[in-house]
Amino acid sequence: MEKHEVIGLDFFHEDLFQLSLNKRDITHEIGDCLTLFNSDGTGRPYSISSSPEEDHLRFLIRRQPGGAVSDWLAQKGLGETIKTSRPYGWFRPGDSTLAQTKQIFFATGTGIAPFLAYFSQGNPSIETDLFYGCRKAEDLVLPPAEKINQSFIAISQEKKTRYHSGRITDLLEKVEISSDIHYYLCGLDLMIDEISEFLENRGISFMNIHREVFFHGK
Amino acid sequence: MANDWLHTSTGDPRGFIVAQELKELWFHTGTSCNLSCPFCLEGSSPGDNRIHFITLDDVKNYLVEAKELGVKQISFTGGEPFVNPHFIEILAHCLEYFPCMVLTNATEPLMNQIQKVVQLKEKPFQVRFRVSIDYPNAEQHDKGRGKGNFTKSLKTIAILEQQGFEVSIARLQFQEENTQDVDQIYQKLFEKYQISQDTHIVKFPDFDTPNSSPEVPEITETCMTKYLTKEQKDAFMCNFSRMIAKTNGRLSIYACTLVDDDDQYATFGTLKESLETKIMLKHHRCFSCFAYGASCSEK
Repeated sequence: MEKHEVIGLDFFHEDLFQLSLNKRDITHEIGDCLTLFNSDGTGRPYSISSSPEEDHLRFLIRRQPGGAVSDWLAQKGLGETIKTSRPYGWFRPGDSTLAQTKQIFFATGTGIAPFLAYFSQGNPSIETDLFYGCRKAEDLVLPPAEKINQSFIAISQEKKTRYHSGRITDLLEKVEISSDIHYYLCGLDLMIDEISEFLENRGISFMNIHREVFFHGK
Repeated sequence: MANDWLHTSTGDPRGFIVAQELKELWFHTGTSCNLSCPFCLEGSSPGDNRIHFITLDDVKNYLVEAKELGVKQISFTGGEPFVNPHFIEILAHCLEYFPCMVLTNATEPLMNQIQKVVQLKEKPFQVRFRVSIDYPNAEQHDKGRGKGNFTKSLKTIAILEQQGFEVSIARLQFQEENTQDVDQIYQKLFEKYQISQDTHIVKFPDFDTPNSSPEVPEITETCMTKYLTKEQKDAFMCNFSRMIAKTNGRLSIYACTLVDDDDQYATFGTLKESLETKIMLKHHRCFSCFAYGASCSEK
């Protein structure tokens, strides 16, 4: 078990915050998660939203009503320590080992975290479109616009915003379809299943669709 | 009463196995998994570190001796092996020297890396996969493994087969089941997902979670001689296999894949030395091997 010190706790609003931890000797890859443990030893996995080059670890966390870990994390103070696992992961936005001319990211809610890690490094070497859905505009944590080729944003629970009012899946007709493109999906299982099916029905190979589903289980 | 390594609670000499050979060497890739199934034999979950990620250097320590001892296959279990960040390079290295088998849940960690897995077809030896499909319906399977994972796993099996990999599935063995009937339900499922009808189905009883202490009958020396034939005794995994796992930063050799929660089954020397160690059938899971002939291997 690792221990990291809280060096930042920044609230976007009451239920959404960014937790920053000192990095110590941790090395990680874009797309990695850490399991963060509360004082009872209950753990939840969170994607790291900072890039491997940065000198600290960041996480984008939604406080779940009655959540065993997120609520506990939201109440931590600077200088307190949090127990974590070592980094692990299998979702690699911008994977340089793949022959891809372009990539398209799909995220809902805090599913933007691994993509924030990707955009936090230098300029992307691959052209990247972003499809991003949140419940409210205040939930949006947008990557730097200059690093994105095109972004398509949907807000599902508010009508009068500058973004599309509805679900991210309403925007699928705008998705560029090509066998040279890799598609990266992170967020709730319903969105991931729906977009995967959409892509597969348009002839995109299973091997070009990369998924990170919020964890299931006990 | 005794109830120690050598004796049962009634003081009788405990049943044991002395390995005859080493045909199969297993590596535990670590207990970290993308799923948190409540019934997991290994107690695996995201970030779990009871058994650490094994590395390529860890594996290399054993391959030369494995070859000398005549090992026929390297097998991998977890956790979910594809969660281990070193796993593809470990597998690629082992496939230079041995056929391999990987136990996987065939969900995102494998799905996301399938292009790299397909490249392993070029290696001198082949890898095959065993995927857990606990029940032949989504409702029961996903109740434990998470919504949508039944379909994902079956789709991944179909892709692996299309790419030329051999895949078997592991299912639960139900009490008093009609095996033929259950297997037929699976075969209908294979048809639906365009999976080969010949796909091998391996059945497992409920082994209980790690560190549990279910009450099972004890196995005495007399049980081993009175109730089992030589062939049945030879089929015990500890007769022909060993598993390497890394706990507390140290590599250990376990008698089989199912006893890594009990340090009494760990040795720390060479593979040859581990084969010379008498394996006492004390663990509650030993009874499953005794009673049902269960084995993680596919002999």
